[in-house]
Amino acid sequence: MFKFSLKWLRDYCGKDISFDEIIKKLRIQGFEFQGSQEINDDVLTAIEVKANRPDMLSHIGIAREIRAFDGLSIPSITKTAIKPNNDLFPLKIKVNGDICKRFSAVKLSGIDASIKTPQYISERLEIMGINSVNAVVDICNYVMLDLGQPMHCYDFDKLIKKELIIDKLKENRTVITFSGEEVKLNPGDIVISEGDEIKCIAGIIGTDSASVLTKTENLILESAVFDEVSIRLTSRRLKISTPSSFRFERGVDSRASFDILFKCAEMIVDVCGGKIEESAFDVYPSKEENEFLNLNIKHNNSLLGVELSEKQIIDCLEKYSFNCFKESEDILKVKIPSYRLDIKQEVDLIEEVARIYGYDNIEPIMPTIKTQYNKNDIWEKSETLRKTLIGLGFHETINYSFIPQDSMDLFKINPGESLYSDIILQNPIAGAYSLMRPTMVYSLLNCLAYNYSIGNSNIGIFELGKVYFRNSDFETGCEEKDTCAFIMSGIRIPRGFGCDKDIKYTYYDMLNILKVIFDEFGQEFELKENTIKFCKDGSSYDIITNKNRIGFIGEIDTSVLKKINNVKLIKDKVFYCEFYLKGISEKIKKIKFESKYPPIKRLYNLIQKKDIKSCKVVDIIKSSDEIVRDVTVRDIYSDKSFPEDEHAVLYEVNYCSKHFTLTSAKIEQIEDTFLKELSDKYNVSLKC
Amino acid sequence: MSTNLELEIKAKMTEFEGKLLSSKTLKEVLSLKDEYLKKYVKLLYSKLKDIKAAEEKKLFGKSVNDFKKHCEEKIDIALNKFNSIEKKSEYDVTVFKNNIKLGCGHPLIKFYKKIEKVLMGMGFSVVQGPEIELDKYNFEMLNIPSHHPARDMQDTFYVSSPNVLLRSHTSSVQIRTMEKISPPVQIISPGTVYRVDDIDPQHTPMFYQIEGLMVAEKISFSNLKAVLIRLLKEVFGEETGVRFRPTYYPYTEPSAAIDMSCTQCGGKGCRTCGYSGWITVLGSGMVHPNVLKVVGYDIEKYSGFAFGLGLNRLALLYYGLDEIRKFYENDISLWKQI
Repeated sequence: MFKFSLKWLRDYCGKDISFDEIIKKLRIQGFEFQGSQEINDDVLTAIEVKANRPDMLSHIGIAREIRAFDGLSIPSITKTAIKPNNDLFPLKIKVNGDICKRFSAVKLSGIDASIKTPQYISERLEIMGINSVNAVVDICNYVMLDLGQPMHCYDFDKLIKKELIIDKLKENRTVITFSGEEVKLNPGDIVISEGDEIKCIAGIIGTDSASVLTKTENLILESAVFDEVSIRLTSRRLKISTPSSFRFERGVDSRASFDILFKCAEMIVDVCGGKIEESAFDVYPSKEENEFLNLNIKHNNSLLGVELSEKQIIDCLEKYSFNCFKESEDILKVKIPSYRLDIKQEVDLIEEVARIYGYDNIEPIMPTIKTQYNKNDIWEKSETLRKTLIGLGFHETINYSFIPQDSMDLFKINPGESLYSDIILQNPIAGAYSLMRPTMVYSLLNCLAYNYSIGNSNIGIFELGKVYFRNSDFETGCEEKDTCAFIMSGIRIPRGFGCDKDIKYTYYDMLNILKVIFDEFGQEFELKENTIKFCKDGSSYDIITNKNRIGFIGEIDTSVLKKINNVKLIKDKVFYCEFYLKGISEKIKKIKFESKYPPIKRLYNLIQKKDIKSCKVVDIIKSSDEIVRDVTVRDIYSDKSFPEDEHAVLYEVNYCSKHFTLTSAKIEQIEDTFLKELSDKYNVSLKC
Repeated sequence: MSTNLELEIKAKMTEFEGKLLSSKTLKEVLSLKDEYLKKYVKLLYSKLKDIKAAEEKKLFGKSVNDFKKHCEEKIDIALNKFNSIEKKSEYDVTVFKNNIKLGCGHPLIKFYKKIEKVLMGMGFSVVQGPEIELDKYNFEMLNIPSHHPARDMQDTFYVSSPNVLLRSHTSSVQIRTMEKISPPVQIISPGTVYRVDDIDPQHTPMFYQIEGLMVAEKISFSNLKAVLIRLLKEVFGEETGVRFRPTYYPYTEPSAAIDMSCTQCGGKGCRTCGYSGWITVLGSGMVHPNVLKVVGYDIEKYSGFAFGLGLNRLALLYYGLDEIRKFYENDISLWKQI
């Protein structure tokens, strides 16, 4: 972001340019308006400046864009006649070329720094939010805001050894900055020092040891360009960001820095008197060589999808001070203005052509492309699950992937167990959002409780998302599993309309829903007892497909429920199911016509021991004769008249023959067979 | 004999019509039905049996049938009048039992599906990738080297600094896909992304993003414009205004931010659009040659475009919700409204 003063900008663009015109022209060229504020008789306006356009962090930069929009230019910064002579310079300066692209300095003698800053400068700085210090420092700041080059100055007489070394710091140091703050420096931070004494954290902030005060008579004015990454690293580590570090991080025009040095020096002399010493200093270790880039007109037109002529392209570019020369057929040689640090390759120029030609002027044309559709298995499974669960009355939720750090303890999940994880974020927004969840149970249980707390009780909710585990087989060290989980509690069907009491969700509803979901895919599964500690004893089972454990079901244990917020509102049992999408696959289902003879249904109320799983009874009934087509459990119940370990199970048997019409005699014969076998094997008997 | 009977039938008809006209209640109509259609017709049929002459029998039979048909019609009309009144009182159609319900889809997903439908119709395939991601896929290969100021735009969560992080955009999936397959590529990568942001009404540390990528021979900026204009018009309506303006992303060049006319005010300017009439909805651009090169594509032959949009803010506008964090609070009573 850069804030500019309207009055200041009008110095460049003319008095008559209106605020709206400025905003409009900037917007079209890609600089979004972010707000404005009237201060005295000026307007301070903020625009968005992306990292690629550091030249727009100055008034001259903004003015260039606005003027170029109308094909007008801004006079370039006057070239100084002074040539550097490093040997005659009154300071010995050593520059580490890795951290500094260019370092220029000049000496000003006999100035009077106590002179009041000219009003227009102090007013403008005030509007820009910069405090007036003294005439010299104010002019330096003014030049930075005007031309984009951060300036620095030293009191020459405070430099005892008459040397400056620009290098990385080799040891830990503490310095007091110009603004009075104590800063701890580390090895590697970039500094400008004289002997042992640090004069400046290079490109970021000066120390108080050589600062220019009102009594300063002789000063060294510095105009340097530091390496972006070095500045950024130091600025980040120290957590100090200044207007100058902000600019250096993004890039400063090193080709202009020497001329700006003299522009600044002249301003100081104009205000404070004194003179500019003849012998200036300048080292330029990484000279920007690449002034020219080639632009292939065909590349330009094919990338943009336009048919621009050579002339149209030249017109666009020259409007923005890119001088074009014809290199060969279809190739233009383009001179890049020194301040356009973002233009590094051909495509940057193509973007510039598009921007200047106008995005709105490029005709939309639908592409013709021949790609083949790639089926995304997981995505399609998610969609089937979503539709199925919504059809079953469940509501979809999306919860944060990060859960409290202590949730593993809360759910009694221990290291080594399949649901355990310790993937903890290094910079979470809070402890409650730090562990990448290895199960959705925390998320859904909380979400259920939250909904109860706002009156949405008696519901089932689900989530389709990911869970995360450590796994060194993956390049990130983490495995992510696409997961489906659902949770439910309370009343499923309220009483009324012939139903004389509320029908609540039961464990058997959960099993049924699981079956409905898996049937939708045609996927068979088994359940195998497990010992998940946050589930009630005997309620938790692993879901197994193709011999792999792919999830689990269970009734959440009350001891865990107690620890969840708002859970007191949930008075009923809470059922939870979670499984991985990888473990299910869509099977092709076939339709077969079973019989033209009518089926017959019979109900059998059998008394059986509770530990006899009904699937065993079903198996015996099914295997008793081929005309037994289907066996379904219709009810399980017990009351006080039953012995403790027994209950009644109501089976519905569907008989149908492919070859003949069934008779009662035939069915009775089959009944006798399986009832005898059940009685012999499991002591199961028909309830009288 | 026959003429007598004919006359009698005619007289009965007149009598019946007179009585029907004066009938005021359902009961009266039903008794007429009983009297004429049942008893009298029965009597006529018995008389018909007695007639021996074939020709006469035929004629008389026709008269009886005509009479019966005529009475039936009249009675049906009369009964219908009463029935329409009677039926209303049988059921209270203002009662909805409400015990069979569909669940509610999450609004982010519902909204996403609208976008996905348009893009899949254009031939985009859906691909996914990990949320816990390597720096190289999230930044480095997208032309965002470490210490690049553009990283400031995306404040990132780290699992283990500096290499393992939570992806800050789904562009990482584009890189992974391009590494695996050669052009033509036409994919969208939807999913959850993460950026360090405290939870408050307008911010969440997690949001849903969808990014698209098309790389083939001769794909141009004008193609990008056509696809994205189509997308926005399909989702938000044909009348939606769309404009493209220059912006900067490290991984695209030229880059374009895309604004659409404000859905709340239609472009007149309101609080939602900051009185500009426009809302920024998409980021896009031609894939930077550095990015194509890093995945080994021949940049002389192939070009492409990419786009990305954050769904949360758009879905917020679309459904008129007031707070972005509500998407992750999951108050089901809100979901039920859409």
